Amino acid sequence: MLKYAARRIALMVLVLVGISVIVFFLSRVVPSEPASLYVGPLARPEQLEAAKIKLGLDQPLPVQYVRYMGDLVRGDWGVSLRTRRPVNEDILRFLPNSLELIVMSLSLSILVGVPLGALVAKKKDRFLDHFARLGSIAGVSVPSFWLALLFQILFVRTLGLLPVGGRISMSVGILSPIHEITGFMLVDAVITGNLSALQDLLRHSVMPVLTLAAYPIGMFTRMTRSTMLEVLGNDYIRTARSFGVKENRITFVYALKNAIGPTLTVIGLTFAYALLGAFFVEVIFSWPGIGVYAVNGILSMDYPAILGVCLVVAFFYILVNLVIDLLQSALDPRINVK
Amino acid sequence: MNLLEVADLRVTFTTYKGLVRAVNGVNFNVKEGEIIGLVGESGSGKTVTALSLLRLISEPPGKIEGAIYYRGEDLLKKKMRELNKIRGKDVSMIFQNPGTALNPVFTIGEQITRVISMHRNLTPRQARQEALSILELVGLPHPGRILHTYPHQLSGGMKQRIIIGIALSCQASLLIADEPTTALDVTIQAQILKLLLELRERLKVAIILITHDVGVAAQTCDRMLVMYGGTIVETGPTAAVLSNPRHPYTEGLLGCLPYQVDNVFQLATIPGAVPDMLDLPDGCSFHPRCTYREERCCEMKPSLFNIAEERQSACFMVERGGSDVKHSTIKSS
Amino acid sequence: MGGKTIIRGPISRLFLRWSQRCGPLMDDLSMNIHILKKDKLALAGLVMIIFFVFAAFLAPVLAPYPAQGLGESDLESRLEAPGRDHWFGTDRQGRDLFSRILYGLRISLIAAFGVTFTAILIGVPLGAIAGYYGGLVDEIIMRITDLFLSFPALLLAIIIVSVIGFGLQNAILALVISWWPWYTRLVRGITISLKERAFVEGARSLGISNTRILLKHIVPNCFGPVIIQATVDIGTVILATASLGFIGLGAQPPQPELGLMISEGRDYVLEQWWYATFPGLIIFLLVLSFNLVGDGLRDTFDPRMKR
Repeated sequence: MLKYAARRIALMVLVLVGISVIVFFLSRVVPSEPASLYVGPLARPEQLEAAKIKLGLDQPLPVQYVRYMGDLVRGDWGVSLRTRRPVNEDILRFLPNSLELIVMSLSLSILVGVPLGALVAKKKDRFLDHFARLGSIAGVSVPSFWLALLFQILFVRTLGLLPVGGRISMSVGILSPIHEITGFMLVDAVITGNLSALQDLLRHSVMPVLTLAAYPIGMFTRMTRSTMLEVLGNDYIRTARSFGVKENRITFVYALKNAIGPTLTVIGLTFAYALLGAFFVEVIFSWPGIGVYAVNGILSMDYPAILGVCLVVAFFYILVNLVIDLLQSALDPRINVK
Repeated sequence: MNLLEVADLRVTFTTYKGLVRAVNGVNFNVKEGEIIGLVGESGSGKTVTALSLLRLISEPPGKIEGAIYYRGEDLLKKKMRELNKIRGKDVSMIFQNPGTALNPVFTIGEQITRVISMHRNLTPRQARQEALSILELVGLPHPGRILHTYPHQLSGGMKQRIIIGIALSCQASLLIADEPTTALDVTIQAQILKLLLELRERLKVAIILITHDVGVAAQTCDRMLVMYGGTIVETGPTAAVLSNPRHPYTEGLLGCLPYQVDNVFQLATIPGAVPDMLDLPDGCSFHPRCTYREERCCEMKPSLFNIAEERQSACFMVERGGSDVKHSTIKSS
Repeated sequence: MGGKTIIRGPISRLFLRWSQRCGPLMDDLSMNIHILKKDKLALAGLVMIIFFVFAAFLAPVLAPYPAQGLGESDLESRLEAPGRDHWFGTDRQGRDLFSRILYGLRISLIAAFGVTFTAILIGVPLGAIAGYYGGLVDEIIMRITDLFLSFPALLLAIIIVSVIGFGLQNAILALVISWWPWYTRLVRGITISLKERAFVEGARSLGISNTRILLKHIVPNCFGPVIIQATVDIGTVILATASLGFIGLGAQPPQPELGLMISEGRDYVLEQWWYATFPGLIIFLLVLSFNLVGDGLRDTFDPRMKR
């Protein structure tokens, strides 16, 4: 188990290095003069030259890369050309918000999608099954940025129930500010018992979480359904029936424990989607997360920021898949043997 | 009263190609502590018959008609909840492939105690004790260790012993065994059959043994039912059926046995193939393959004719005067 | 592999080939077609696809204001609500949204078919070669593929666009670059399983050249799964193109691209609800129809789904 984990982590580092190489060279070779972005369009040539030296852009590319990686490891991720702040500080500030959004959406999706998929597998070819199939395919097909706008039309324009966007109301932020402990606002609000802030945070979270959950709910329902159908066709299910085990227990314990493995893989893959989907959801709901930071960075060609975000996204993507693999081997005794 | 009485059992499946008639009016009974063999080629409807006894066929597309009386109560009329109290407790079933019959993600202990505590009012500790004694009963060494293993860590023979153990853990009075030895090595096969015979003696459990192997039935069964095309074509005490088959199909089936080489009229195989259940031939379903075919065989379906006590055959030759199916000249050897 | 083709036409033949790979010959095919016919959702998806393709094809004829569809503005009638003159309302430059959407369909469909087709052209041969020859060739191709796959495809596309420059053509190019590895992996897996099959070994023992085996035996047998994958991918690419347009990396104004239209309508969402709603609805239905068909095909032809 430990050996397996170690090998996977080594592989993960390798992939990260590969990605950084690609992104780094893409960002340095193709664009015209990153330095001119730094100094602005009205700068004099001397200022440009100075900026080049300051940013290390006068060196040959491999040297730049090695230097960049060295800095990266030492915790210096470069300075954002747009915000003029160190990239790692920016990322640390925005990342917790994104993670909270993603964790909330994925938890909701798992809680809804997995049991629903198991249920409709049981009701194969009945009305509920067809309905859930249409629903889950619709969830996978809907553009998140459009769904977000629909929610705004419904909840804000028509019903007037929820705030249009943002993370916390200005008034709440001033009247009952959240003491920063972990950097995760929801967690901090809970720890400090700040109920009015918590309520406000949750109100702001409803639409972003629902929007981001549409795709994963559809995905999990569909995947759980198909793996459950496969599992329910197995001999041991028939054996359990012949021993008088009740249908509900067969579905939700005997079969679901077998079906959870493949579903976990999909959950891991969906995490990647959620990271990316968060970009769009955050932009629409002005959620102060890494997605907004990334999109602004991309639009203003802020390469240190783009590179930093990419590495973080890739890191989490690979990390989650590693965790999923380890979880799977814990759930299925057969994997340990291999 | 018979332990089990099956009356005019019919099982059909609705498929996109049409109605598949898998079982067409099967009648038989099982007495307490008796081992009967349900023998036939694959596709003869024997497995479907066995599965429908505990209603393990999904409906739809399947449909079970007729009556199955267990101790006088019709299982087909019971609600699922009542049926689940009988399954595993009074009537148990084990299947062909022990390799896939146990749930791979639960330990053996979890799977045994689950069934025990479901049907019997025992504390977890008592259930564990009971599980240990069951594993001992089916002849497994180190039962304590086995409780903590997962199915993939055990051999096929061990798994089949465990499944038999679970099936009998709640003092079932009837065990339906669907090809319990087919997937196992020959030596293991013999051990499992011996185990079944021992358990019958000790627990007085009746067994319905479904097999395509006449040899297996010959070694174990008190009575035999020979199935073909979804009907029973011959029944009788094992010895009588084997020594004196009264239906051409049984005769052909016995001819397939290797130890019949000294028989003068030797049939290495039965020509033709099992009938298509979608489109059963008119009349006797065996007539396209039968060497004794008469005209009426193609038009009329013979019912089971009584020959002697507990001895029946569904062949017009038997009806004619109870004479031997095999012509005396052939049989005299 | 001696199945007799009773049903003609290229698509059914492809289906036949794949079902042959999946299991028994004609038996399975007739069952598959039977299941597919009964799959009303997939059929509905197919009807919608045909409808959309026709609408896109006939956009210049169907659009009430073709010139506006392509970008001409009519400042007199800005932000008009849906009505008799403008079925879907007008946008901030007074352009008829219905006409814009018809032209937007063209962009979406051309981009999606183009990206998927090109990705197949690149990915399938590479996958077949990697799977068939194995060894070092396989190693090199697959490590490169893995690198691409270890990154969400759309994110990769975003990065590439941000480097090579914004615009519809660059977005399409970026999507192609990030999409082909999926086909390589798919086809490699099938090729490896086919390599062991009797008909390939037979062909090899007869001294038929590797190229010929690849072209005649391996690649045609991959068509089924590739087409199913492609059906779903077309939907995904439509979504991706619109996403890139939405964040401003893809199509640029005044192109009638659906994602871009939503992005423009976003500022008016609370007052002029129709502006973002209709383009989004069309994207949704378009993607939905491809996914319905893809899902139906996959369910029908996946041998694991049968009991």
